[in-house]
Amino acid sequence: MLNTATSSLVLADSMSAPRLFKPRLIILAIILAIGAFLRLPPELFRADTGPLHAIESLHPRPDDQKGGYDERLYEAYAKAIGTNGLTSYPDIVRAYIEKQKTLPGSILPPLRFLYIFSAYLYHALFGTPERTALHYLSSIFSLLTLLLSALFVSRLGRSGYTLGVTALMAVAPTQLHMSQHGLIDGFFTFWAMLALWSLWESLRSPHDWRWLTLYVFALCGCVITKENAFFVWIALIGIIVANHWLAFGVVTRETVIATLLGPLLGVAVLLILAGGVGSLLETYTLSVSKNYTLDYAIQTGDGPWYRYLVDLLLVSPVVLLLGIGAVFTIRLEQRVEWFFVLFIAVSYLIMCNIKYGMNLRYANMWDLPLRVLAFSQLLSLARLFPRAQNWLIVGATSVLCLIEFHQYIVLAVSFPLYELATQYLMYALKILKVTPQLHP
Amino acid sequence: MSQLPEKRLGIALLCLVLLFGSFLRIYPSAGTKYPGVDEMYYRHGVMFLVHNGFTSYPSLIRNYAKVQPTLSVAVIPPTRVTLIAAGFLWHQIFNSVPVISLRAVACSATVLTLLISALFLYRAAGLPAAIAVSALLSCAPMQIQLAQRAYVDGVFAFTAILTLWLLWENMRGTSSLKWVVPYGASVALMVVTKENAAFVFVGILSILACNRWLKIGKVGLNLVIATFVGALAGVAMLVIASGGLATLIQVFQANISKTYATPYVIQTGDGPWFRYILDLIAMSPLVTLLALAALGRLNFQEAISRYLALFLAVTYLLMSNLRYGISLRYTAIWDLPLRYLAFTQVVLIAVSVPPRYRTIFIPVAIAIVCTVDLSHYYFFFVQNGTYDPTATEILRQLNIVK
Repeated sequence: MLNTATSSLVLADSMSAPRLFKPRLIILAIILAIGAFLRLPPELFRADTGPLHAIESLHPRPDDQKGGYDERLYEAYAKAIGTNGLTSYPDIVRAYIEKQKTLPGSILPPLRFLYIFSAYLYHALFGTPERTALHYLSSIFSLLTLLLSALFVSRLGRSGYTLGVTALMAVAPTQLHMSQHGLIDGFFTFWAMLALWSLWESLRSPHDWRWLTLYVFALCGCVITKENAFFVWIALIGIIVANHWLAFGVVTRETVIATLLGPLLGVAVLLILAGGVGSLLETYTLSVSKNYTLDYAIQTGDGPWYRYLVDLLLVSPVVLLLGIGAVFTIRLEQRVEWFFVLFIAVSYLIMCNIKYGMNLRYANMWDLPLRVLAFSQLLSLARLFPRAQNWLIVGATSVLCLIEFHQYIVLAVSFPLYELATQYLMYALKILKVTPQLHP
Repeated sequence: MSQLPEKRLGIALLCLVLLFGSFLRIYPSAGTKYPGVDEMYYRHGVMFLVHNGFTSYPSLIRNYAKVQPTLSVAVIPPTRVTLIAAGFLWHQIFNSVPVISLRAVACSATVLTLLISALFLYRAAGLPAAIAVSALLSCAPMQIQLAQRAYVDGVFAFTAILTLWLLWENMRGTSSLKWVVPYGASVALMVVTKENAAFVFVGILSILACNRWLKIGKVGLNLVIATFVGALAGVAMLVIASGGLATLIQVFQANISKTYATPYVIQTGDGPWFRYILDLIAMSPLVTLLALAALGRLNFQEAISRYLALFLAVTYLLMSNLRYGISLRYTAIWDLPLRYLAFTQVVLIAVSVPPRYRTIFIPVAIAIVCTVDLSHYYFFFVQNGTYDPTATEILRQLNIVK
């Protein structure tokens, strides 16, 4: 599959083998290398055990080293698999149900299986402590998201997009943040983007079963990673429906079946892990209902429909403004832009209506779509100055990357940011002067 | 043949919109009635003049220059002559108490802002634009709030918009004395109203300087002279009101130095360059998003769009870089430019709407934006009784920050 994808990438950019070493590819390699370096887990740079300690000063170490409550739960679930084996997963779920019943607020359910199991697997393979394994996983999957973004964008058939969007993704503050902590959302973003990409490819090559298989696999991955898979799924359905008017490609019966089959497979896996329909339903019912009484969720997850706009503005102001510009100036023939706009718009519509359920972490899956739109807008603006167009694009993208990286430094390196709640973001940016004291 | 009745109908509609906007400003809807800190200082200024006569204005400023250095925090300087003097005059004419007089002045100024904005747009962009933007401005939350309180910002916004309009007229038409003299006078009035005149003045100079490339209109020597003479006249009035240049400098130095030590200012006026965008999104989300989209095009066909966009960009650049000096109240001068740009974006969107719905699309879209703005005014200022809409305060009321 990787072979096929890579060869397709080469074809899409009209590159023949002798021209592989042309400057564009070298620049892309440099961007990816920078992005990968920034995503390396802080543990690798530690004074005592870190193999990369010598270059510690080059790596922007996040100020928060304590981690959060969620990390401890993921760690506990991973340890439970190690102690009792994978077959005991229904017991883990039952134990969660019993514990959740007694708690006033919601705690994360063990049905975020893929992240937990991957951490266990990493621990089993390399002997890394579970908590560290979670950090490494976040880092690896953030890097995979970056690579996937480069691949996806290179397949859009737009000249210059691969370099521009990959550069923006390499320094995206929320992507970098997710790579440095044991949070599931960066991991989930990878699966969501894989599903989005494979849907795009399936629409473009409707009879290629390999893309459909990848699509089913990615959807299944989403479902067994996090409940937010529901938002992704609805957004993908929105895209499939809109294809009737926007003609991204061809929706075949197989595409529809795959859209249903992927999540069904995921649900089947969860059913087995939960030990039955009853446990599965009870887990989600408890998790959702208790979330409405969780003080932390009430304190940080509330707000009006434009709450995500406020949060995104605080983190990536210029990218958001360019993205907004792109949304409002989109033309019917801009299929690529419509594809990403629809993904954001449909998922936004649901996500902004979840009571006490808004968090910028969940918007991590919009990072790539938003950057495609921002870059598209940047190109539109550069076209107004035809003489200096190329230099403007390079200059503006570089400045934008610097602004993004600066935002990451302000928010997560100079300030102990862990949770992406508005209060913390505002405090880090000195808009709010009173320290928020919020704990899950 | 049908053009005339259509125009009459349009003017009647514009009048209705302006009546509605005026009603929203005059009707005492603010949730909190008690005087705020700023109002108390202006009230003190009016009371001083009532007791000692208008000619005692220099004493009022001298007293401030003496007292301010001894205080730990910055207080409102009495160099904001327009509001205090107009409040005093209102009191003398109608015999109302000082705070009510000041509020009446602020309210009148915001009504006048609405009226001159409508006139400005009618002459610059035509009747439909004037109707739509007047409707948007009628429901602008900050404009209504500024009409309910004895803030200087509503009065200052009036002088700034008046100056902008007169500058436009001078650039577009023959720059005769009929337009140049009122323009110079409005610049002077702006200077004696608030220190923020400096931002608007730089905005005006940028328009004059960039006219060569932006092709807004003609910039003659008399216009440039009027700009500087107006500003100098304003400064001269301030010098006279202060009883000397030394006192005036002393007042501003004392005020600025103490501003950086004022806890309230530090707590509410700080933030990154995009703080104003954040505040504006929280207050008027649809207008801000539409205006941002319009600004993002950078390709304005009409001169009026280029004119207002440049003014907005330059003043934003200055105002967002003022340490501890960010407040949503100062953005009242952007209410007209933002709403005009939002309107142009609505018109642009309408182009992509199927032709049979196009006629109805713009009024419906404007009505939705107006409703959202009005609901926000009700939420922030009536229901929650906000006095000063700081970022923390409004985000707390929106439940984003708890």
